[in-house]
Amino acid sequence: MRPLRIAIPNKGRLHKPSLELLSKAGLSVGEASRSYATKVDGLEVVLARAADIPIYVHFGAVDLGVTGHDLVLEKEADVYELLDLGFGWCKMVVAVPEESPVNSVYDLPQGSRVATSFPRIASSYFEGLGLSVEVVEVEGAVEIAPRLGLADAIVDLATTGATLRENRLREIAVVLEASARLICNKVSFRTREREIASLVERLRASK
Amino acid sequence: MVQSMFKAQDDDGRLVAFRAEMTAPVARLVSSKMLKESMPLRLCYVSNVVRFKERYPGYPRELWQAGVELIGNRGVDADAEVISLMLTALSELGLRDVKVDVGHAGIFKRLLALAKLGNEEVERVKGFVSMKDSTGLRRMLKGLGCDEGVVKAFEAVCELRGLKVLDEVLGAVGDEEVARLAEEVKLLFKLLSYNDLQDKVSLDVGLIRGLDYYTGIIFEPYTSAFGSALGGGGRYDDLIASFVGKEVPATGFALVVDHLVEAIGVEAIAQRMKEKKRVIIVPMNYEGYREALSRAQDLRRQGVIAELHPVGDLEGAKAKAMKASAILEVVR
Repeated sequence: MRPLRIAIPNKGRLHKPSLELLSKAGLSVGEASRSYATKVDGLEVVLARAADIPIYVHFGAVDLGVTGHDLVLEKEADVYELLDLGFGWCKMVVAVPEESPVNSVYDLPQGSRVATSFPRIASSYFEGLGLSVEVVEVEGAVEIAPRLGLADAIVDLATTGATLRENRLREIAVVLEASARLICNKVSFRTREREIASLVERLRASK
Repeated sequence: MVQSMFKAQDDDGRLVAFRAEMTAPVARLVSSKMLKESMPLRLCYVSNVVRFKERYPGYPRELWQAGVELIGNRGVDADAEVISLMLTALSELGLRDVKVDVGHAGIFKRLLALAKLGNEEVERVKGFVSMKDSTGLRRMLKGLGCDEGVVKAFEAVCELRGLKVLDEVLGAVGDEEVARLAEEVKLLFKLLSYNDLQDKVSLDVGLIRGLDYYTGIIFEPYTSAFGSALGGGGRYDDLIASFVGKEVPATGFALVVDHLVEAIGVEAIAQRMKEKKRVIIVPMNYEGYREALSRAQDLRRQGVIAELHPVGDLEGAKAKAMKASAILEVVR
Protein backbone atom coordinates (compact mmCIF):
# COMPACT_ATOMS: atom_id res chain seq x y z
CA MET A 1 0.00 0.00 0.00
CA ARG A 2 1.31 3.49 -0.78
CA PRO A 3 2.30 5.72 2.14
CA LEU A 4 -0.30 8.07 3.61
CA ARG A 5 -0.29 11.35 1.68
CA ILE A 6 -0.91 14.84 2.99
CA ALA A 7 -1.02 18.03 0.90
CA ILE A 8 -0.04 21.38 2.35
CA PRO A 9 -0.17 24.82 0.70
CA ASN A 10 2.95 25.59 -1.39
CA LYS A 11 2.66 29.35 -0.87
CA GLY A 12 0.40 32.01 0.56
CA ARG A 13 -0.58 32.76 4.14
CA LEU A 14 -1.21 29.11 5.08
CA HIS A 15 2.16 27.85 3.82
CA LYS A 16 4.44 28.76 6.75
CA PRO A 17 2.09 27.86 9.61
CA SER A 18 1.44 24.49 7.91
CA LEU A 19 5.16 23.72 7.76
CA GLU A 20 5.51 24.79 11.40
CA LEU A 21 2.65 22.52 12.43
CA LEU A 22 4.25 19.51 10.75
CA SER A 23 7.62 20.33 12.23
CA LYS A 24 6.13 20.63 15.75
CA ALA A 25 4.60 17.21 15.22
CA GLY A 26 8.07 15.87 14.43
CA LEU A 27 7.47 15.81 10.70
CA SER A 28 9.95 18.40 9.55
CA VAL A 29 10.03 18.68 5.74
CA GLY A 30 12.47 21.61 5.57
CA GLU A 31 11.94 24.53 3.25
CA ALA A 32 9.82 23.90 0.18
CA SER A 33 11.90 22.06 -2.36
CA ARG A 34 10.95 22.05 -6.01
CA SER A 35 10.03 18.38 -6.04
CA TYR A 36 6.34 17.87 -5.50
CA ALA A 37 6.62 15.38 -2.65
CA THR A 38 8.86 14.77 0.35
CA LYS A 39 8.86 11.60 2.43
CA VAL A 40 9.12 11.94 6.16
CA ASP A 41 8.48 9.25 8.77
CA GLY A 42 6.44 7.10 6.37
CA LEU A 43 4.30 10.07 5.34
CA GLU A 44 4.34 11.65 1.88
CA VAL A 45 4.08 15.44 2.08
CA VAL A 46 2.85 17.06 -1.14
CA LEU A 47 3.03 20.79 -1.81
CA ALA A 48 0.07 22.12 -3.77
CA ARG A 49 -2.00 25.25 -4.23
CA ALA A 50 -4.29 25.79 -1.26
CA ALA A 51 -7.26 26.24 -3.62
CA ASP A 52 -6.59 22.87 -5.29
CA ILE A 53 -6.16 20.90 -2.06
CA PRO A 54 -9.91 20.35 -1.49
CA ILE A 55 -10.11 18.79 -4.97
CA TYR A 56 -7.06 16.55 -4.41
CA VAL A 57 -8.60 15.31 -1.19
CA HIS A 58 -12.11 14.95 -2.61
CA PHE A 59 -10.87 12.61 -5.34
CA GLY A 60 -8.45 10.76 -3.04
CA ALA A 61 -5.24 11.79 -4.88
CA VAL A 62 -4.05 12.64 -1.38
CA ASP A 63 -5.60 11.30 1.82
CA LEU A 64 -5.31 14.45 3.91
CA GLY A 65 -4.79 18.15 3.34
CA VAL A 66 -4.32 21.47 5.10
CA THR A 67 -6.39 24.26 3.57
CA GLY A 68 -8.86 27.01 4.41
CA HIS A 69 -12.46 26.23 5.37
CA ASP A 70 -13.49 28.90 2.83
CA LEU A 71 -11.78 26.94 0.01
CA VAL A 72 -13.46 23.68 1.04
CA LEU A 73 -16.84 25.42 0.79
CA GLU A 74 -16.00 27.21 -2.46
CA LYS A 75 -14.86 24.00 -4.18
CA GLU A 76 -17.88 22.13 -2.76
CA ALA A 77 -15.54 19.30 -1.82
CA ASP A 78 -17.18 16.31 -0.16
CA VAL A 79 -14.54 15.77 2.54
CA TYR A 80 -14.24 15.56 6.32
CA GLU A 81 -12.84 18.47 8.31
CA LEU A 82 -11.05 16.62 11.09
CA LEU A 83 -9.32 19.48 12.90
CA ASP A 84 -9.62 23.22 13.20
CA LEU A 85 -5.91 24.05 13.14
CA GLY A 86 -6.40 27.43 14.76
CA PHE A 87 -4.29 29.45 12.33
CA GLY A 88 -5.18 31.30 9.16
CA TRP A 89 -8.28 32.85 10.69
CA CYS A 90 -10.07 35.27 8.39
CA LYS A 91 -13.53 36.45 7.62
CA MET A 92 -15.25 36.80 4.28
CA VAL A 93 -17.08 40.09 4.00
CA VAL A 94 -19.28 42.08 1.66
CA ALA A 95 -17.76 45.53 1.07
CA VAL A 96 -18.80 48.62 -0.86
CA PRO A 97 -16.97 51.91 -1.69
CA GLU A 98 -16.69 54.21 1.34
CA GLU A 99 -18.91 56.87 -0.18
CA SER A 100 -21.64 54.44 -1.23
CA PRO A 101 -25.06 55.10 0.34
CA VAL A 102 -25.41 51.34 0.88
CA ASN A 103 -25.24 50.41 4.59
CA SER A 104 -26.41 46.83 4.57
CA VAL A 105 -26.71 44.07 1.97
CA TYR A 106 -30.45 44.75 1.87
CA ASP A 107 -29.71 48.24 0.50
CA LEU A 108 -27.97 46.77 -2.57
CA PRO A 109 -30.22 47.53 -5.57
CA GLN A 110 -31.59 44.52 -7.41
CA GLY A 111 -29.19 43.41 -10.13
CA SER A 112 -26.14 44.98 -8.46
CA ARG A 113 -22.90 43.48 -9.66
CA VAL A 114 -20.69 41.76 -7.07
CA ALA A 115 -17.08 40.87 -7.86
CA THR A 116 -15.46 37.98 -6.02
CA SER A 117 -13.02 35.12 -6.31
CA PHE A 118 -15.51 32.98 -4.35
CA PRO A 119 -18.46 32.84 -6.79
CA ARG A 120 -20.16 29.78 -5.26
CA ILE A 121 -20.06 31.04 -1.68
CA ALA A 122 -21.15 34.54 -2.78
CA SER A 123 -24.01 33.25 -4.94
CA SER A 124 -25.37 30.96 -2.25
CA TYR A 125 -25.03 33.72 0.36
CA PHE A 126 -27.13 36.19 -1.64
CA GLU A 127 -29.58 33.49 -2.70
CA GLY A 128 -30.00 32.52 0.95
CA LEU A 129 -30.97 36.12 1.75
CA GLY A 130 -33.37 36.19 -1.19
CA LEU A 131 -31.35 38.93 -2.89
CA SER A 132 -30.91 39.03 -6.62
CA VAL A 133 -27.43 40.20 -7.59
CA GLU A 134 -25.10 39.40 -10.45
CA VAL A 135 -21.96 37.63 -9.23
CA VAL A 136 -18.88 38.01 -11.44
CA GLU A 137 -15.76 35.96 -10.87
CA VAL A 138 -12.31 37.57 -10.83
CA GLU A 139 -9.14 35.69 -9.93
CA GLY A 140 -7.49 38.27 -7.71
CA ALA A 141 -7.17 41.93 -6.76
CA VAL A 142 -10.91 41.90 -6.18
CA GLU A 143 -10.69 45.11 -4.14
CA ILE A 144 -10.01 47.28 -7.20
CA ALA A 145 -13.19 46.16 -9.00
CA PRO A 146 -15.50 48.87 -7.57
CA ARG A 147 -13.05 51.71 -8.43
CA LEU A 148 -12.82 50.50 -12.01
CA GLY A 149 -16.58 50.36 -12.32
CA LEU A 150 -16.62 46.60 -12.72
CA ALA A 151 -18.76 46.02 -9.65
CA ASP A 152 -20.94 47.77 -7.07
CA ALA A 153 -19.71 45.58 -4.24
CA ILE A 154 -17.22 42.81 -3.54
CA VAL A 155 -17.13 39.63 -1.51
CA ASP A 156 -13.59 38.99 -0.32
CA LEU A 157 -11.44 37.83 2.58
CA ALA A 158 -10.39 40.33 5.21
CA THR A 159 -8.17 39.62 8.19
CA THR A 160 -7.44 43.03 9.62
CA GLY A 161 -9.43 45.19 7.23
CA ALA A 162 -6.27 47.08 6.15
CA THR A 163 -6.62 46.15 2.45
CA LEU A 164 -10.23 47.28 2.47
CA ARG A 165 -9.27 50.64 4.01
CA GLU A 166 -6.39 51.16 1.57
CA ASN A 167 -8.83 50.70 -1.29
CA ARG A 168 -11.40 52.96 0.41
CA LEU A 169 -13.90 50.14 0.89
CA ARG A 170 -16.29 49.64 3.80
CA GLU A 171 -17.47 46.31 5.22
CA ILE A 172 -21.27 45.96 5.34
CA ALA A 173 -21.71 42.28 6.21
CA VAL A 174 -19.81 39.15 7.26
CA VAL A 175 -20.48 36.17 4.98
CA LEU A 176 -18.53 33.63 7.03
CA GLU A 177 -15.54 33.14 9.30
CA ALA A 178 -12.90 30.62 8.31
CA SER A 179 -9.66 29.12 9.53
CA ALA A 180 -7.21 26.46 8.39
CA ARG A 181 -8.54 22.92 8.63
CA LEU A 182 -7.14 19.42 8.38
CA ILE A 183 -9.35 17.79 5.75
CA CYS A 184 -9.61 14.11 4.92
CA ASN A 185 -10.86 11.97 2.06
CA LYS A 186 -14.00 10.10 3.10
CA VAL A 187 -12.86 6.71 1.84
CA SER A 188 -9.29 6.96 3.19
CA PHE A 189 -10.81 7.88 6.54
CA ARG A 190 -12.39 4.42 6.65
CA THR A 191 -9.90 2.23 4.81
CA ARG A 192 -6.83 3.67 6.60
CA GLU A 193 -8.57 4.46 9.85
CA ARG A 194 -5.71 3.66 12.29
CA GLU A 195 -2.92 5.49 10.44
CA ILE A 196 -5.10 8.56 10.05
CA ALA A 197 -6.28 8.54 13.66
CA SER A 198 -2.69 8.44 14.93
CA LEU A 199 -1.61 11.27 12.62
CA VAL A 200 -4.62 13.36 13.70
CA GLU A 201 -3.71 12.85 17.36
CA ARG A 202 -0.12 13.88 16.64
CA LEU A 203 -1.27 17.06 14.91
CA ARG A 204 -3.94 17.81 17.51
CA ALA A 205 -1.27 17.68 20.20
CA SER A 206 0.98 20.07 18.23
CA LYS A 207 -1.42 22.77 17.16
CA MET B 1 -34.56 12.43 -2.50
CA VAL B 2 -37.78 14.01 -3.77
CA GLN B 3 -35.78 16.96 -5.16
CA SER B 4 -33.51 14.64 -7.11
CA MET B 5 -36.30 12.63 -8.76
CA PHE B 6 -37.20 12.97 -12.43
CA LYS B 7 -40.83 14.03 -12.65
CA ALA B 8 -43.30 14.12 -15.52
CA GLN B 9 -46.96 14.84 -16.03
CA ASP B 10 -49.36 11.93 -16.54
CA ASP B 11 -52.12 12.13 -19.19
CA ASP B 12 -54.67 13.27 -16.58
CA GLY B 13 -52.38 16.05 -15.36
CA ARG B 14 -51.12 14.30 -12.23
CA LEU B 15 -47.46 14.46 -11.38
CA VAL B 16 -45.61 11.15 -11.65
CA ALA B 17 -42.03 10.45 -10.61
CA PHE B 18 -39.59 7.89 -11.96
CA ARG B 19 -38.18 5.55 -9.35
CA ALA B 20 -34.98 6.89 -7.82
CA GLU B 21 -34.42 3.84 -5.60
CA MET B 22 -36.12 0.47 -5.04
CA THR B 23 -36.92 0.26 -1.33
CA ALA B 24 -40.07 2.39 -1.46
CA PRO B 25 -41.48 0.46 -4.49
CA VAL B 26 -40.74 -2.86 -2.72
CA ALA B 27 -42.41 -1.58 0.46
CA ARG B 28 -45.48 -0.68 -1.57
CA LEU B 29 -45.53 -4.08 -3.25
CA VAL B 30 -45.33 -5.78 0.14
CA SER B 31 -48.09 -3.64 1.63
CA SER B 32 -50.47 -4.26 -1.28
CA LYS B 33 -49.80 -7.91 -2.14
CA MET B 34 -47.66 -9.79 0.35
CA LEU B 35 -48.85 -9.08 3.90
CA LYS B 36 -50.62 -12.45 4.09
CA GLU B 37 -47.39 -14.35 3.35
CA SER B 38 -45.63 -15.89 6.33
CA MET B 39 -43.01 -13.59 7.78
CA PRO B 40 -40.16 -12.85 7.56
CA LEU B 41 -40.05 -12.24 3.81
CA ARG B 42 -36.76 -12.27 1.97
CA LEU B 43 -36.85 -10.36 -1.32
CA CYS B 44 -34.23 -9.32 -3.81
CA TYR B 45 -34.05 -7.24 -6.98
CA VAL B 46 -31.76 -5.92 -9.68
CA SER B 47 -33.15 -2.80 -11.26
CA ASN B 48 -32.29 0.46 -12.93
CA VAL B 49 -33.09 3.70 -11.11
CA VAL B 50 -32.85 7.31 -12.26
CA ARG B 51 -31.98 10.45 -10.35
CA PHE B 52 -29.92 13.57 -10.73
CA LYS B 53 -27.28 14.99 -8.46
CA GLU B 54 -26.93 18.74 -8.57
CA ARG B 55 -23.45 18.85 -7.14
CA TYR B 56 -21.84 16.53 -9.65
CA PRO B 57 -22.91 17.41 -13.19
CA GLY B 58 -20.92 14.49 -14.65
CA TYR B 59 -22.59 11.91 -12.42
CA PRO B 60 -24.63 9.31 -14.39
CA ARG B 61 -28.38 9.72 -14.07
CA GLU B 62 -29.21 6.07 -14.53
CA LEU B 63 -27.70 3.49 -12.17
CA TRP B 64 -28.33 -0.20 -11.62
CA GLN B 65 -29.02 -1.32 -8.09
CA ALA B 66 -28.87 -4.87 -6.75
CA GLY B 67 -30.52 -5.18 -3.38
CA VAL B 68 -32.29 -7.26 -0.76
CA GLU B 69 -35.07 -6.54 1.72
CA LEU B 70 -35.70 -8.59 4.87
CA ILE B 71 -39.24 -7.86 6.02
CA GLY B 72 -41.01 -8.77 9.24
CA ASN B 73 -38.22 -9.10 11.81
CA ARG B 74 -37.83 -6.29 14.31
CA GLY B 75 -34.81 -7.89 16.00
CA VAL B 76 -31.15 -6.92 15.69
CA ASP B 77 -30.55 -10.42 14.25
CA ALA B 78 -32.15 -9.14 11.02
CA ASP B 79 -29.74 -6.18 10.85
CA ALA B 80 -26.81 -8.55 11.45
CA GLU B 81 -28.10 -10.91 8.76
CA VAL B 82 -28.31 -8.29 6.00
CA ILE B 83 -24.91 -6.78 6.87
CA SER B 84 -23.30 -10.25 6.80
CA LEU B 85 -25.01 -11.03 3.51
CA MET B 86 -23.73 -7.79 2.00
CA LEU B 87 -20.16 -8.52 3.13
CA THR B 88 -20.37 -12.07 1.73
CA ALA B 89 -21.64 -10.77 -1.61
CA LEU B 90 -18.82 -8.21 -1.85
CA SER B 91 -16.21 -10.79 -0.90
CA GLU B 92 -17.59 -13.24 -3.51
CA LEU B 93 -17.14 -10.47 -6.07
CA GLY B 94 -13.45 -10.37 -5.17
CA LEU B 95 -13.49 -7.16 -3.11
CA ARG B 96 -11.33 -8.10 -0.13
CA ASP B 97 -10.71 -4.84 1.75
CA VAL B 98 -14.32 -3.81 2.31
CA LYS B 99 -15.15 -1.80 5.45
CA VAL B 100 -18.67 -1.09 6.61
CA ASP B 101 -19.62 2.06 8.45
CA VAL B 102 -22.54 1.55 10.80
CA GLY B 103 -24.72 4.31 12.18
CA HIS B 104 -28.11 4.55 13.86
CA ALA B 105 -30.79 6.82 12.43
CA GLY B 106 -32.79 6.53 15.66
CA ILE B 107 -29.95 7.83 17.84
CA PHE B 108 -29.22 10.69 15.45
CA LYS B 109 -32.90 11.68 15.23
CA ARG B 110 -33.21 11.53 19.02
CA LEU B 111 -30.21 13.88 19.43
CA LEU B 112 -31.78 16.29 16.95
CA ALA B 113 -35.02 16.17 18.95
CA LEU B 114 -33.10 16.90 22.18
CA ALA B 115 -31.51 19.92 20.49
CA LYS B 116 -35.03 21.26 19.70
CA LEU B 117 -34.21 22.55 16.22
CA GLY B 118 -36.33 23.79 13.31
CA ASN B 119 -36.27 22.05 9.93
CA GLU B 120 -33.80 24.45 8.38
CA GLU B 121 -31.47 24.18 11.37
CA VAL B 122 -31.63 20.37 11.17
CA GLU B 123 -30.34 20.56 7.59
CA ARG B 124 -27.46 22.78 8.71
CA VAL B 125 -26.57 20.38 11.52
CA LYS B 126 -26.55 17.49 9.02
CA GLY B 127 -24.21 19.55 6.82
CA PHE B 128 -21.74 20.07 9.69
CA VAL B 129 -21.92 16.42 10.78
CA SER B 130 -21.37 15.12 7.25
CA MET B 131 -18.15 17.19 7.13
CA LYS B 132 -17.27 16.25 10.75
CA ASP B 133 -16.89 19.99 11.34
CA SER B 134 -17.27 19.99 15.13
CA THR B 135 -15.97 23.58 15.37
CA GLY B 136 -18.72 24.95 13.13
CA LEU B 137 -21.35 22.75 14.74
CA ARG B 138 -20.47 23.85 18.29
CA ARG B 139 -20.57 27.51 17.25
CA MET B 140 -23.98 27.08 15.61
CA LEU B 141 -25.59 25.10 18.46
CA LYS B 142 -24.16 27.44 21.11
CA GLY B 143 -25.47 30.38 19.09
CA LEU B 144 -28.94 28.85 19.22
CA GLY B 145 -28.68 28.47 22.98
CA CYS B 146 -28.53 24.66 22.96
CA ASP B 147 -27.87 22.76 26.16
CA GLU B 148 -24.12 22.07 26.72
CA GLY B 149 -24.79 18.32 27.08
CA VAL B 150 -26.39 18.16 23.64
CA VAL B 151 -23.51 20.17 22.13
CA LYS B 152 -21.00 17.75 23.70
CA ALA B 153 -22.94 14.78 22.33
CA PHE B 154 -22.85 16.20 18.79
CA GLU B 155 -19.14 16.94 19.17
CA ALA B 156 -18.52 13.30 20.11
CA VAL B 157 -20.56 12.20 17.09
CA CYS B 158 -18.30 14.32 14.84
CA GLU B 159 -14.97 13.48 16.41
CA LEU B 160 -15.14 9.87 17.60
CA ARG B 161 -15.52 6.51 15.94
CA GLY B 162 -16.12 3.08 17.40
CA LEU B 163 -18.33 1.89 20.25
CA LYS B 164 -16.75 4.42 22.67
CA VAL B 165 -18.92 7.12 21.00
CA LEU B 166 -21.96 5.58 22.66
CA ASP B 167 -20.58 6.08 26.17
CA GLU B 168 -19.51 9.65 25.38
CA VAL B 169 -22.93 10.52 23.95
CA LEU B 170 -24.73 8.88 26.88
CA GLY B 171 -22.47 10.61 29.37
CA ALA B 172 -23.33 13.95 27.75
CA VAL B 173 -27.12 13.60 27.43
CA GLY B 174 -28.10 10.73 29.79
CA ASP B 175 -31.26 10.04 27.82
CA GLU B 176 -33.21 6.77 28.28
CA GLU B 177 -34.16 6.51 24.62
CA VAL B 178 -30.54 6.97 23.51
CA ALA B 179 -29.45 4.38 26.10
CA ARG B 180 -31.95 1.82 24.73
CA LEU B 181 -30.84 2.39 21.11
CA ALA B 182 -27.16 2.23 22.12
CA GLU B 183 -27.81 -1.29 23.48
CA GLU B 184 -29.12 -2.29 20.01
CA VAL B 185 -25.86 -1.14 18.44
CA LYS B 186 -23.75 -3.03 21.00
CA LEU B 187 -25.81 -6.19 20.39
CA LEU B 188 -25.33 -5.80 16.62
CA PHE B 189 -21.55 -5.68 16.98
CA LYS B 190 -21.67 -8.74 19.23
CA LEU B 191 -23.77 -10.69 16.70
CA LEU B 192 -21.41 -9.69 13.87
CA SER B 193 -18.45 -10.94 15.89
CA TYR B 194 -20.01 -14.44 15.79
CA ASN B 195 -19.32 -14.32 12.04
CA ASP B 196 -15.82 -12.89 12.65
CA LEU B 197 -16.91 -9.65 11.01
CA GLN B 198 -16.01 -7.33 13.91
CA ASP B 199 -12.93 -6.00 12.09
CA LYS B 200 -14.97 -5.17 9.01
CA VAL B 201 -17.41 -2.84 10.75
CA SER B 202 -16.98 0.41 12.63
CA LEU B 203 -19.50 2.60 14.35
CA ASP B 204 -19.95 6.17 13.10
CA VAL B 205 -23.03 7.73 14.68
CA GLY B 206 -22.50 10.67 12.31
CA LEU B 207 -23.31 8.45 9.32
CA ILE B 208 -26.27 10.11 7.61
CA ARG B 209 -27.97 8.44 4.69
CA GLY B 210 -29.96 10.72 2.44
CA LEU B 211 -33.38 9.21 3.11
CA ASP B 212 -35.69 10.19 5.94
CA TYR B 213 -37.43 6.81 6.14
CA TYR B 214 -34.63 5.10 8.07
CA THR B 215 -35.50 4.42 11.70
CA GLY B 216 -32.70 2.25 13.10
CA ILE B 217 -29.32 0.75 12.23
CA ILE B 218 -27.96 2.07 8.91
CA PHE B 219 -24.75 1.16 7.07
CA GLU B 220 -22.55 1.84 4.04
CA PRO B 221 -19.78 -0.33 2.53
CA TYR B 222 -16.48 1.18 1.35
CA THR B 223 -13.39 -0.12 -0.44
CA SER B 224 -10.12 1.63 -1.24
CA ALA B 225 -10.79 0.84 -4.92
CA PHE B 226 -13.73 3.25 -5.20
CA GLY B 227 -14.12 6.91 -4.19
CA SER B 228 -17.45 6.77 -2.35
CA ALA B 229 -19.82 4.26 -0.76
CA LEU B 230 -20.61 1.21 -2.93
CA GLY B 231 -24.22 1.36 -1.78
CA GLY B 232 -25.91 1.25 1.57
CA GLY B 233 -28.90 0.26 3.57
CA GLY B 234 -30.68 0.24 6.89
CA ARG B 235 -33.81 -0.31 8.90
CA TYR B 236 -37.09 1.31 7.92
CA ASP B 237 -39.74 0.16 10.38
CA ASP B 238 -42.34 2.84 9.54
CA LEU B 239 -42.25 2.85 5.74
CA ILE B 240 -44.66 -0.05 5.10
CA ALA B 241 -46.94 1.33 7.81
CA SER B 242 -47.17 4.56 5.84
CA PHE B 243 -48.87 2.58 3.05
CA VAL B 244 -51.14 0.25 5.06
CA GLY B 245 -51.27 1.60 8.59
CA LYS B 246 -50.05 -1.74 9.93
CA GLU B 247 -46.59 -1.81 11.43
CA VAL B 248 -44.20 -4.06 9.50
CA PRO B 249 -40.52 -3.81 10.49
CA ALA B 250 -37.98 -4.13 7.69
CA THR B 251 -34.33 -3.73 6.78
CA GLY B 252 -32.28 -4.16 3.62
CA PHE B 253 -29.55 -2.79 1.40
CA ALA B 254 -28.73 -1.99 -2.21
CA LEU B 255 -25.37 -2.10 -3.98
CA VAL B 256 -24.81 0.09 -7.02
CA VAL B 257 -23.76 -2.27 -9.82
CA ASP B 258 -22.00 0.52 -11.76
CA HIS B 259 -19.84 1.30 -8.68
CA LEU B 260 -19.03 -2.40 -8.22
CA VAL B 261 -17.88 -2.66 -11.83
CA GLU B 262 -15.57 0.31 -11.31
CA ALA B 263 -14.21 -1.05 -8.02
CA ILE B 264 -13.53 -4.53 -9.38
CA GLY B 265 -12.16 -3.10 -12.63
CA VAL B 266 -13.38 -3.67 -16.16
CA GLU B 267 -10.20 -5.60 -17.06
CA ALA B 268 -10.55 -7.90 -14.07
CA ILE B 269 -14.14 -8.64 -15.04
CA ALA B 270 -13.17 -9.31 -18.66
CA GLN B 271 -10.39 -11.58 -17.42
CA ARG B 272 -12.81 -13.53 -15.26
CA MET B 273 -15.17 -13.92 -18.21
CA LYS B 274 -12.27 -15.27 -20.27
CA GLU B 275 -11.33 -17.75 -17.57
CA LYS B 276 -14.80 -19.18 -17.77
CA LYS B 277 -14.90 -22.33 -19.91
CA ARG B 278 -16.55 -21.76 -23.25
CA VAL B 279 -17.59 -24.40 -25.79
CA ILE B 280 -18.77 -23.92 -29.35
CA ILE B 281 -20.84 -26.83 -30.66
CA VAL B 282 -21.39 -27.18 -34.38
CA PRO B 283 -23.82 -29.82 -35.70
CA MET B 284 -22.74 -30.81 -39.23
CA ASN B 285 -26.31 -31.67 -40.31
CA TYR B 286 -29.86 -31.57 -38.93
CA GLU B 287 -29.61 -35.20 -37.78
CA GLY B 288 -26.86 -34.10 -35.39
CA TYR B 289 -28.82 -31.07 -34.16
CA ARG B 290 -30.69 -32.99 -31.46
CA GLU B 291 -27.49 -34.34 -29.91
CA ALA B 292 -25.82 -30.91 -30.11
CA LEU B 293 -28.78 -29.34 -28.32
CA SER B 294 -28.73 -31.78 -25.41
CA ARG B 295 -24.95 -31.49 -25.12
CA ALA B 296 -25.26 -27.68 -24.87
CA GLN B 297 -27.90 -27.97 -22.15
CA ASP B 298 -25.72 -30.39 -20.16
CA LEU B 299 -22.76 -28.04 -20.36
CA ARG B 300 -24.85 -25.03 -19.29
CA ARG B 301 -26.07 -26.92 -16.23
CA GLN B 302 -22.40 -27.34 -15.28
CA GLY B 303 -21.89 -23.59 -15.56
CA VAL B 304 -20.05 -23.72 -18.88
CA ILE B 305 -20.84 -21.15 -21.57
CA ALA B 306 -22.14 -23.26 -24.46
CA GLU B 307 -22.92 -21.81 -27.85
CA LEU B 308 -24.65 -23.57 -30.77
CA HIS B 309 -23.13 -22.66 -34.12
CA PRO B 310 -25.17 -22.57 -37.40
CA VAL B 311 -25.63 -26.08 -38.83
CA GLY B 312 -22.86 -27.14 -41.24
CA ASP B 313 -20.62 -24.07 -40.87
CA LEU B 314 -17.44 -25.85 -39.72
CA GLU B 315 -15.04 -23.17 -41.01
CA GLY B 316 -16.91 -20.37 -39.27
CA ALA B 317 -17.06 -22.37 -36.02
CA LYS B 318 -13.30 -23.01 -36.14
CA ALA B 319 -12.55 -19.34 -36.67
CA LYS B 320 -14.85 -18.28 -33.84
CA ALA B 321 -13.48 -20.87 -31.40
CA MET B 322 -9.94 -19.73 -32.16
CA LYS B 323 -10.78 -16.07 -31.58
CA ALA B 324 -12.72 -16.64 -28.35
CA SER B 325 -10.27 -19.28 -27.03
CA ALA B 326 -13.19 -21.72 -26.84
CA ILE B 327 -13.26 -25.47 -27.22
CA LEU B 328 -14.80 -26.67 -30.48
CA GLU B 329 -17.06 -29.71 -30.52
CA VAL B 330 -18.28 -31.11 -33.82
CA VAL B 331 -21.39 -33.31 -33.97
CA ARG B 332 -21.61 -35.36 -37.17
